[in-house]
Amino acid sequence: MFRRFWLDVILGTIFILALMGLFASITAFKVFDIMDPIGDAFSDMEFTDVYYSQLLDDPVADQDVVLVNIGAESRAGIAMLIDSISQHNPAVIGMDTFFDFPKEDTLGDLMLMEAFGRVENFVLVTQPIYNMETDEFDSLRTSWPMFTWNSDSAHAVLVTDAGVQEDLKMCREFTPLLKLEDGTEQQAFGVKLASYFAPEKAKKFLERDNFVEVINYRGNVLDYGATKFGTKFAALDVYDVFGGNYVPEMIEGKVVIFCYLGNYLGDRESLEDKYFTPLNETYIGRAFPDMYGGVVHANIVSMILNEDYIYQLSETQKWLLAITILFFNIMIFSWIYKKLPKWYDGLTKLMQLAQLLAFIYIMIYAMDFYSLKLDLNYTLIAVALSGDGLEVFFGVVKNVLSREGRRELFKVSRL
Amino acid sequence: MRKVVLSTVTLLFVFASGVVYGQGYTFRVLANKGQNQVKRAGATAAIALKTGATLNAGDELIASQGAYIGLMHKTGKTLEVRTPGTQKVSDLEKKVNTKTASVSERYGQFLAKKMNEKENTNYRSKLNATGAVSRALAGDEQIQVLLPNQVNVIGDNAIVTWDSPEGMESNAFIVTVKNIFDEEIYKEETTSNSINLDFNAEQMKNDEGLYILTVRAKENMDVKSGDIGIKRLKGADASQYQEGLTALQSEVPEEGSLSKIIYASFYEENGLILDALTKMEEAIRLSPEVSDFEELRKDILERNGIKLFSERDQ
Repeated sequence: MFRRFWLDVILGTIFILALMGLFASITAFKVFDIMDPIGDAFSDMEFTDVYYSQLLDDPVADQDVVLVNIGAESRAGIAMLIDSISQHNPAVIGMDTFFDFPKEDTLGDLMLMEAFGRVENFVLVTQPIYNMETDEFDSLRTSWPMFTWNSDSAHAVLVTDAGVQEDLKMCREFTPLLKLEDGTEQQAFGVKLASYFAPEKAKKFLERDNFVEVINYRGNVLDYGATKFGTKFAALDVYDVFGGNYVPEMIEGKVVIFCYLGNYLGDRESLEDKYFTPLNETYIGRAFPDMYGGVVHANIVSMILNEDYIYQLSETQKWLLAITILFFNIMIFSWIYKKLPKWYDGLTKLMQLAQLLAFIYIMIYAMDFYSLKLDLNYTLIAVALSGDGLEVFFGVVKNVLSREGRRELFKVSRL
Repeated sequence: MRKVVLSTVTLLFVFASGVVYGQGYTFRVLANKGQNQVKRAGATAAIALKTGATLNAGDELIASQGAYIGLMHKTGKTLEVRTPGTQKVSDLEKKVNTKTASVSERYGQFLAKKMNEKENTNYRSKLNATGAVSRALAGDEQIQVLLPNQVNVIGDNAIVTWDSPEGMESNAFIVTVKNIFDEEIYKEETTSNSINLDFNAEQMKNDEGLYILTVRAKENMDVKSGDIGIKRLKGADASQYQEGLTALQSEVPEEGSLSKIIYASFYEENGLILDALTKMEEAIRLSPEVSDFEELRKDILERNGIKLFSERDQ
């Protein structure tokens, strides 16, 4: 009897895992998507989005990173901005802009080249190009060589679902290091900038050796309520720099990122290089992008400098946790099924509901206290399926497999 | 005895921490949009607010219309000021939330907020957006201001001229000047095709030295010019021209129409088109009977790609 109970528990667990697999394969074909607009809206949402959007405790501002808006300035204008800022000895200047080709304004190009050349520590962005056929990053997009001779390079790629730059895109993660087909490596823009400011912290971060890292967002810049944390970095607009409307000490020894923050600081209409982030006040459904790419990089730098990383479970750990929780559920539910059959439906539903709420709370708690992104999706699905799935296992699978069960099903006299 | 010593040490520590914590600034300015000012404690006049500047408890923050100021408290917490008007820094400090709520409290607050959300069923309040854009009735930029879109100036005044569009019933215009924050600082109605801007006038004083000028037809405000950006050069930007100008002033008096032509030539050579056209306009007004001055003015406009005069091409 005792042995049979444990056999049922093990087989019940396997049956529900198989059910999960079946659902996953059916939904992989998206056959039900036409009837599932709600599921579609939720498809790009994670529970941690709710945490960042609504539950994150007000983070402190970061004074080590300064953003400078290049707006719609010409190359000559950007050169003047660079000269103006670099005279105050920043630790490093990062330029989050591509200058792909020379322009007709040769004088502007020369001014920009000379301005870049005068900066002591200068990082210019690149883009490793992925070749689907070889599954390798086989080439590197850079600015025109006349602009790169005095610069260090770092890739500005962020992990999104966007096919092209102009697509709407959600950004939660980035890749700290990308290896190219020729064996060379490109550090992420944020990592490279942090390495100039605090090399030991950047090294420690890279030693985590994760291909993908979750961005621990701190906040935004003048976003008019798009997020709850609208001003967490110092920011200068074009007219601030040209008009000397800033205190030079705010630049000295800091990480300065030149980037596009709209045609002017606080520009809510421009969508160029603008991302949805988990900080977005609207965490589900239709929303407006909330953060410019340069601010995303600033958040990465801030995360590294503050050693405030996000930890994640591996895929194996997620499955192990889901199987363990499922096994204990099946064990308890099997006991109820055998000993308290009249109570089965009510008790199991209540226990499932309590577990789902508890796991959601644990996910938020783990994120808040341990910076652990506890992705319990497999566990939640396993818990949701365990009650009814076990009933199907006992009521259908076991009966079909037993002669007595099959006979009972086709016995006409029972009516 | 041990308790007394411990209590004294604790009290001293708390007092010392308070003293240390109380030093330095109350807020630091992280971002600053608008023509905002700060009045320092004990000062009689307010000064322009700069990004990165610190604010102390006795200071007053003066936020302009449309301002957006991001402040960082000494604890690292941030505060945004978007309401125009004067606010004491000590009052702003009271608004900073330095307490840390537990995750359970935050979750509870979030759920309570969600439960109290009410759906807005009033359709009239949802009619704020149009499915249309705004354009001038007969196309944009129908008034041509006779200047490049961006222009530098070093003089204390400037005469801006423009052409009347065809078909206007009355030759009345409204000229507006905005600062870089899109705030209107000067407005004048005129029936002529020019205006004299006095950069030393009270309303034209502008720390950034940047102005955006637009001319509209009074009878139809949709008939307008493009925005003309005027930058008044100061400091090192202006001093590069000052040596040559001083040398010229020592040799040529500024009065007299011929002198003004010489000054116009100097300004044009140095790329100061607005100053050059101003001097030309002054020369024409002094000697309206000399038609050559008008021709010289047209030369300047053509050489600088501002306007081609077809009758001269024939």
